[in-house]
Amino acid sequence: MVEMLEVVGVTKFYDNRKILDSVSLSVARGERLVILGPNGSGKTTLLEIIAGIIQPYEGMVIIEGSVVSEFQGGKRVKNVPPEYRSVGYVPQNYALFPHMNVYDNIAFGLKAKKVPKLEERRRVTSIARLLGIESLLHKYPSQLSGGQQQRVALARALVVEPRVLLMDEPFSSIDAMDRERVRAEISKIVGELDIAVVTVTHSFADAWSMGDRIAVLIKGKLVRVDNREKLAFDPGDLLVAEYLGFNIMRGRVIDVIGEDVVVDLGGQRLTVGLEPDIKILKGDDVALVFRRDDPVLTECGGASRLGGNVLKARVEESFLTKYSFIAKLNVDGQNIIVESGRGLVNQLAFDLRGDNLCITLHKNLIKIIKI
Amino acid sequence: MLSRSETVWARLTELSFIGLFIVASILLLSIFIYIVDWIGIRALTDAISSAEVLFAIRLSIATSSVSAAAALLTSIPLAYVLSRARFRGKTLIEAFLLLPFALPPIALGTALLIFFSNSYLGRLVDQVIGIVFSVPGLIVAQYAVILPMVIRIIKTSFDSIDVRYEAVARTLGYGTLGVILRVMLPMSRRGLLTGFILGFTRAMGEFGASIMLAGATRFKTETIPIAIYLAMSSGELHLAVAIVVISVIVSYVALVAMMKIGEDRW
Repeated sequence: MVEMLEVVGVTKFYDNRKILDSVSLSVARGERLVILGPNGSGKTTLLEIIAGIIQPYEGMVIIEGSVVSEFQGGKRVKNVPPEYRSVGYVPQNYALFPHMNVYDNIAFGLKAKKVPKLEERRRVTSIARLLGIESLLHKYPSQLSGGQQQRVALARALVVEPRVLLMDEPFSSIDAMDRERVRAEISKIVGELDIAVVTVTHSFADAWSMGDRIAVLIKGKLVRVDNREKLAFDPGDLLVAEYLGFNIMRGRVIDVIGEDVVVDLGGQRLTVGLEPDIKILKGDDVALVFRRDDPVLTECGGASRLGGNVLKARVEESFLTKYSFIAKLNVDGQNIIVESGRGLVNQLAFDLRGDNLCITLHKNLIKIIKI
Repeated sequence: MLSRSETVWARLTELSFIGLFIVASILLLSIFIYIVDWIGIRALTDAISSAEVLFAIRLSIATSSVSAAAALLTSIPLAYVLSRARFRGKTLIEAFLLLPFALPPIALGTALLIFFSNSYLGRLVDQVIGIVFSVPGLIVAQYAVILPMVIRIIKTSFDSIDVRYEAVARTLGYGTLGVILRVMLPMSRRGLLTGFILGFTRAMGEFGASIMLAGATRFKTETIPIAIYLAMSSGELHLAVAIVVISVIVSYVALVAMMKIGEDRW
């Protein structure tokens, strides 16, 4: 695959505070990368550095093979201004120009490039049709809903045919009611573009729907970049596991039998299937990481029939959310959360507080990390 | 939900503000009516039809328009830099630009007079355009007095525009000038208008700096405030007061007209 965008060792300070710490990543043509991180992790700063709106202290930005920004120790080696970078930018609040109607907002970039009027009209209409906003061309931004504003902002960025599209928290100002639908539609449109798309977000749902690959940025450091399927099962390290909300249990290895290790959790034991490239020895302190929807919650009598590890747990709290059932459990003094896992427990009850139940967890669903 | 006593308090505060507004309006209006009554309608119509007063009105409007427009134009780049650029010593420069605001206009006028009559550059400009004791001098004096205020207003207006609008415009192909012309100026339309209106009104009332630099010559550098001064110093009290009344009316009409022009369209 051809790399459309490369970021190499980008570091940025604000008032002596390191905002970005040697961040490197690359995005291929037609690929969608999501930069996922908590608020204040430096996501927007990274996006603005790619766009050329702000400059890094150190590092390089390369678009389609040519260096558009290079800084060494705060000194500029090369810096192509944003207007010549061929980057489309959709900021968090969309920043639609309030004094222009939708048509003029979309045509804004074409006017800068002095595109002939007829061609301008053709391109604006065609992108408006693609995004389903043809009927809004004469309206002003203040007359549009959040979702419509976002489409206009996207149309405005895409009409100039950029090589890289940057979106900052694209769905944060869209009503919860519309968010899923808008996300699915935008994700589809963006997925069909033959350019590099970088989205930054703090929302897991947005990240998994908008990214072929997800880069996790925490406190200015890129801690993990992987495709979304892999990341959904294997966070790789504890920092990422904690941030993504995986269950983490700590224990000590008491036995290694062939490709399985037995871990003592402080009373109960758990067998974990070992991946070939991981070296774990008897006596090692380890963390066991698994998804919230992997354990099956059961009455203790029926547990063994499912096969796999069975752990006794006490329910600290349990409740229903819009789509799932959530139980906070205590296993030998360690807290875990089971989501959508009512399993074989009384199907009608959802407040199971104080109940002693069992969870069944298959050994191959557990990732083991040496600590 | 507000409690009953909170609702009563909210209502009382609201009423007291309305009351204060009515009292202040009545007070201002009664002062105005008293003055008009004191000089009599006759003196007022005489004053309006006098060539000298008409000259002063026209000169005031003309010079104030030019000085306010000039202040507005020069404020735009200065305010943009002050609002957007980050550089060492910015506060010092900003304070220096605002300094004339803190000076008595007469001191500013004295400084300008000395500059244009003594310094090499000032004398050169004076020889080419004719600043000292002439109409351009009025404009320069008004400009110097109102500039800091106009810069301040425009800067505040620029500050309130989210930098993301500029960022988007930059990525869409606009350089700094394009961003200012196509984004910053249209989006700060209200601030620009306020800057112009307040600059214009302040220039209309400018006296101290004007009299030092342009002097007080009848039918030459006679703006409304200077006409009042000349009438008072020659003992024509009724004429002076009549001009005061006229200046109030002229300023009021000009303000209403400009505010009407600037009403929001989006």
